[in-house]
Amino acid sequence: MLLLIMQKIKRILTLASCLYFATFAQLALCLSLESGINVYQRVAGVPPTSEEISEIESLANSGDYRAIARLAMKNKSFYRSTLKYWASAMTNVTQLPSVDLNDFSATVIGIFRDEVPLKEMLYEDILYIGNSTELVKIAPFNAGVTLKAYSDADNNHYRQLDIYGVDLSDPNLLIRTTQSGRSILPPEATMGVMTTRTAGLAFLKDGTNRRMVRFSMVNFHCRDMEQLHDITIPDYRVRQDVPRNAGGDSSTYITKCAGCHAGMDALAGAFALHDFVPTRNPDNTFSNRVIYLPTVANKFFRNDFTYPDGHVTLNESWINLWTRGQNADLGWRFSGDENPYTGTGAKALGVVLAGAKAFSVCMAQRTYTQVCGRTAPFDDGEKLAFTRIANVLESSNYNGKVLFEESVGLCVGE
Amino acid sequence: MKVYLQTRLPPQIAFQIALMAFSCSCSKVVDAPQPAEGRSIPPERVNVRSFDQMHETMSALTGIPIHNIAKTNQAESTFNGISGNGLRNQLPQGNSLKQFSAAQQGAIVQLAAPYCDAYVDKLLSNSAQMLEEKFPFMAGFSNSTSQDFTNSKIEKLTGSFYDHFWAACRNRPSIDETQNEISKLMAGLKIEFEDDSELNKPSNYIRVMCVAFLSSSCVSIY
Repeated sequence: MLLLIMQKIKRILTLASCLYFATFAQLALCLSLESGINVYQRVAGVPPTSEEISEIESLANSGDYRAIARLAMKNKSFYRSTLKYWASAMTNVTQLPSVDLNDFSATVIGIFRDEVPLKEMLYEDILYIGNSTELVKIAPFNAGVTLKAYSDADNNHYRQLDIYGVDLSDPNLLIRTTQSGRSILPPEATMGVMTTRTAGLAFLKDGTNRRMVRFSMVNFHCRDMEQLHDITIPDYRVRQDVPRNAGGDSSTYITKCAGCHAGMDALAGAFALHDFVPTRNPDNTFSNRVIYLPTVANKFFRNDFTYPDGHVTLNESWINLWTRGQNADLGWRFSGDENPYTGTGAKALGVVLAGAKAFSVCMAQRTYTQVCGRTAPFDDGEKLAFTRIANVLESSNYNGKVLFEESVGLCVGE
Repeated sequence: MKVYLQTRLPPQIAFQIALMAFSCSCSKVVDAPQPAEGRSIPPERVNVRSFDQMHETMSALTGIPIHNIAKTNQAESTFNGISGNGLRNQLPQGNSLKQFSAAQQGAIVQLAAPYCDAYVDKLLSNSAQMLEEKFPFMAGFSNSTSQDFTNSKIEKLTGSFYDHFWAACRNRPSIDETQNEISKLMAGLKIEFEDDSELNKPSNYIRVMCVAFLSSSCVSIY
């Protein structure tokens, strides 16, 4: 009871000093302790400790919500819960965030933690795994629980890291490596997190590899096919399996099918050599893995009799037809050695997608949704804020942490 | 989990207690969202913790590592992923309060129970030393009976849990309201426990109090 009274007196004194010392301009920046704690919880996902509450109090007094967010990002829960949820929604077609840790989400977490430029998650040969050398020294792996080694054929390794609450903020426990060094993919076939096992299972398995294009856009440009639909662009890259006169009516193709397929099929060539199929294990059993074929995958020729005059995929080349028409506003840009119009292979496409303004804006939107709990449709003020945060992200060399620092500012005091 | 609840906390009691604590503070926390000017969607002023966040929060508040719970609680069934029926799927998938349903309160109690069990066990593990260090008013507790678990001790323990578990809770109920609720719960428990010498131990009352605090809206909502 006494403690409660003391706390209340302290809060009143703090607020009084804030009001006394603040100029009118600064006054608006003073945060209440409650708001400060709320900022912390929105980022860390857990309540602050007593020591942290004292620190939050002084930071709130100066209105420094960014510093409160930075304090929250030191908490291991930021990596194990907030960032995991942020990344997990991108790992499956239903966009469900509550799934086991996997190679996709662990790699995103590592990229944030180590402040690797965020856009590298779309093209770099990168992978984060548990460090078995260090993990076997800590509980529960030093007390009877056998650590499952990383494998590109299952998720057991990451599932264990998840179940046993391994501290992913510890750079000794979650370490950076390469996909090419840990799987059968050559370095040139990697496309950041989109060529991890989890992405392969979700986006490459079966089908025609168009899902890779769709979910690259959903995940990293926050645009699904309905929004990308554009019947004004040429359809010369639409493949043979798309009927041109469904139900005997060619207008359906022209007004509906072509609106998505024209742009999507033109990009899907980037994944012509990728597949997710059973491959032989050392013990002669079979497991599904992401593979990189020497020739175009058979799935690209499925139903080729439907419209034989359609586009035939011969290699990994792709054309970005969305640089014109309504989708030009995605902000396509030259990025590294790649131009936004044409290219070869998944990695080149990843560079272009990550280099577009829409990537930065989408990352801001995703973060805002996560920390402020808002979902689309967004109003004009929010869209402006996403653009501002995207600019901050780019000027920080794509340091993902600034997304949380800036986004949480949009819901301070709520 | 079922075995645990049967041997330590009767499930119906733990559940009722947690729900009462939950509803007590929930009425304080959840205000009807007011639409912001120019916005078609009301701002989310209150968020619910997701499965992982609840895990992390309960772990942080009790000081019990997650791997302890995973080991003692048959990790595979508790942590079942996308296709299973484990706790993960019974708890909120995200932070939006819209994703929260009344049925999830039962899962929150289930998650809180092993943490409180381990928490109280840890307090008692170093004989009375650690317990008395943390709660001086519990001196001599290890040799006490439920009769010694007086209202005065309950009040003090409630105050300690209130300050510890709900320190960061915004709009928490007053200490008086909380003590009133907890006293009622303890009185009810004494009636339930009095014929069972296994259950009628002070440590079990503390476990139940802990579950009530840990599974409350003050912990699961922010």
